[in-house]
Amino acid sequence: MYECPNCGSNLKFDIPSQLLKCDYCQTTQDPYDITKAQDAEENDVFDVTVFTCPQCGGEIMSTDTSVAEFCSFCGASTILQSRVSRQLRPAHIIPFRQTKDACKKAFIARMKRSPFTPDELKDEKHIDSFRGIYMPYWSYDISQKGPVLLKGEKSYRKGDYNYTDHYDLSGQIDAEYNNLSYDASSSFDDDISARIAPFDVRDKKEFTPSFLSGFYADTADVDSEIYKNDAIEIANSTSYDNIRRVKAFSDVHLTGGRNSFSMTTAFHTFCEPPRRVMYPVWFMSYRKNGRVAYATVNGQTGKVAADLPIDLKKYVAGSAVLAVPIFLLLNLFFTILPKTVLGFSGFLAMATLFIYLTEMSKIYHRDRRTCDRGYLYRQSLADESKKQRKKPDSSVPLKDLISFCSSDRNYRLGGALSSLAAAAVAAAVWLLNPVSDLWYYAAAIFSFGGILFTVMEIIRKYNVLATRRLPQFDRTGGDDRA
Amino acid sequence: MRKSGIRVFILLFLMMTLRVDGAERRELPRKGDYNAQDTQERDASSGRADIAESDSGCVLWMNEETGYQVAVEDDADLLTDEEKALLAFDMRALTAYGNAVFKSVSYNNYSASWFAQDCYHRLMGSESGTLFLIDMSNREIYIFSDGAVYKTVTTAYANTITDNVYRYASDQDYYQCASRAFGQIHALLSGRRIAQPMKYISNALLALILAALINYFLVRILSASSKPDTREILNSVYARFAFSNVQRRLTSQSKVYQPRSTDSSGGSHGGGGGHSGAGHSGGGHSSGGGGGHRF
Repeated sequence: MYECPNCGSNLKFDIPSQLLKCDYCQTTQDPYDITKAQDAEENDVFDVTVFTCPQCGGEIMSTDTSVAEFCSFCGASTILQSRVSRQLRPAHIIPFRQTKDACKKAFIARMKRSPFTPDELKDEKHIDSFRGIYMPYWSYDISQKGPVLLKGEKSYRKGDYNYTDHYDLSGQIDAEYNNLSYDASSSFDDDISARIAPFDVRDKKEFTPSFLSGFYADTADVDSEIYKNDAIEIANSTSYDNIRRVKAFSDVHLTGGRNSFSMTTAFHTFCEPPRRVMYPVWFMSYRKNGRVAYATVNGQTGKVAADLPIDLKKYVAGSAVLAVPIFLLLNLFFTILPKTVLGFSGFLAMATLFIYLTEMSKIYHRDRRTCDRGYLYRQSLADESKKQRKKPDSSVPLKDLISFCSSDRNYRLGGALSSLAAAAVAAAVWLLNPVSDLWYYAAAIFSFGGILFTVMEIIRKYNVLATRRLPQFDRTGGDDRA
Repeated sequence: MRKSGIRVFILLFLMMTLRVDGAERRELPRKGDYNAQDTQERDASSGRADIAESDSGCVLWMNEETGYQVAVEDDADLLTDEEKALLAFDMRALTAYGNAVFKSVSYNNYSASWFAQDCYHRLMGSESGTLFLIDMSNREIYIFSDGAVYKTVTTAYANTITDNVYRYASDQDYYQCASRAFGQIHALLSGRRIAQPMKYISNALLALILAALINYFLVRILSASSKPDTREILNSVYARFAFSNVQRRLTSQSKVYQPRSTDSSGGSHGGGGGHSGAGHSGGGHSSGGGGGHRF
């Protein structure tokens, strides 16, 4: 807690003025001035109160000692356990630029662009629960300096011959990519952090703990090595593209591929030791049916990323309304035979089955957080297994997917079976080729029902995804039964 | 709001499905609904006596004003003499626009569409007109139209009309089937509209299926948040790139002998061709087409 020099009340960081401000007497103070007085002796660490959720084990910290009664990670309304801890001091911080009101407005505007979102999400009670949290990030500085030699070739035709000229392409590279950032918290989903990115690091400030006053902060628990190769890959591929665009090489095709390892050698890519930084995020979480959904707003730019479920009733009503112009349009141009309709509906049923399986694969990855390397890192530590540094395989074996689909009551196989049955009935009637139109209409209606059921199953599953599994962190206090 | 939207949709659908011309608003008579008395009354009022019957049993009549003819060739012997005469009488109205041919066949080696086209051209040449075929061999009814009539009685309408009347053929009420078909052709030619339940039901089903899928993608697009691309990320960090002392040195050259293709086959760019499909195959001079339905 930072005391007001005038009245002794609590000073909090005021976003509009970018100064510490006393709520009581309105006195303002430069964050660096007050820090110098209190934290001068220690440069590498600073004191904070760490709050731990007894239900999920999630940890947030604050410079305030007041009781926290809400866990942003699992949405539990409970008194968080607190302890004073010393944390490593980040190198930089980007202070909040977006006020809570601006954040709420950005979120409401985003909701308006999603007409199929349930009305309950627009509930003032939820929107008011946005909490300002500084998220820890690793910041990587990549440099490339030295002579570069690449191979290239140019092909052309002359007479009856195809000629290929082989070139040595050389030059002196001098490139820097500084402050490439990746979130360092296992509790902050990589998918969400990617969607609210980027933060404009040109706005960064040297860290001082007083910036945290009035906000919470998440703790960095992911090893800095996890994202190092990602940063190097961005630097390498950007330099490769830039070299390809050099005028003298414009008509030459670079050979040797874009292998990151070979580029690292060719470009003399060097990664400085990563630094801890903190970026501002407005964070809202709410529980529904034993799961949690997140809405986040970039505290600097106001960019919104949220888990937005789809209201099934709104979807069905929207489809019915959309059917009217399609029907009128079809009437303008086509007289379709019942058998043709059946053929189309059978084909679309198969297409829906394909969509179902594709979407299920995405849902599987997202629900299991198989692409969240920060999370996987924590999991691997918990399992006492080796750190997982390579990118996860994005393919899902069919066996795993089927097992996943049938393992939980939320993941029934009914969606796949209904469109499969629709396609089968359509094919059977098509082959039997009955005289009466009624057979075709009945089969087409059955196909429509199957397709609609499958799409609604996808939406149900997507909604399950939009409300994530309750996080259970590998920290003291985590309760798997929560 | 949602309820009213659904109501409007249902109302529109019903209006379009049930919109029929005057003749179609009547309840369709079933087999045996007409009788001798009706026939006699119609004979008296219209002078049916001028319809001739050839030695082969083909009923013929010519419209003196337009020169178009009516022909009824019931080779499958599906109609009684009375029905043939009645049908020929019904078909007379079409001669204001073109020839009108009824044909039934009990044995046919070809498709109904090919047979109908061939038969029409054999009987009427390339003149404007229409032919209604009952093909007992393929169990199919088919309407072929040519010339000016085809501009009105298009393939789509031929499909619609045969769909409207195929149930009579299924019930072996061939006179009603043909009579209704010619009645609807006449309605179209005289600028009236006919019922198109097949079109509206088929389009409605397809519209519902497409709407369900399109709306799904719409919903997903509207609910998704995009991730920034590399350029956006680089715009927000300190990025600097310089590449100096650029040199390009030719190290070797390779060549592969690959003569230009002379395309000796020749046939791939030319040669004969054709177009087949309902009402378009064969004949060479035809601009007509048609549609049919099994029964």
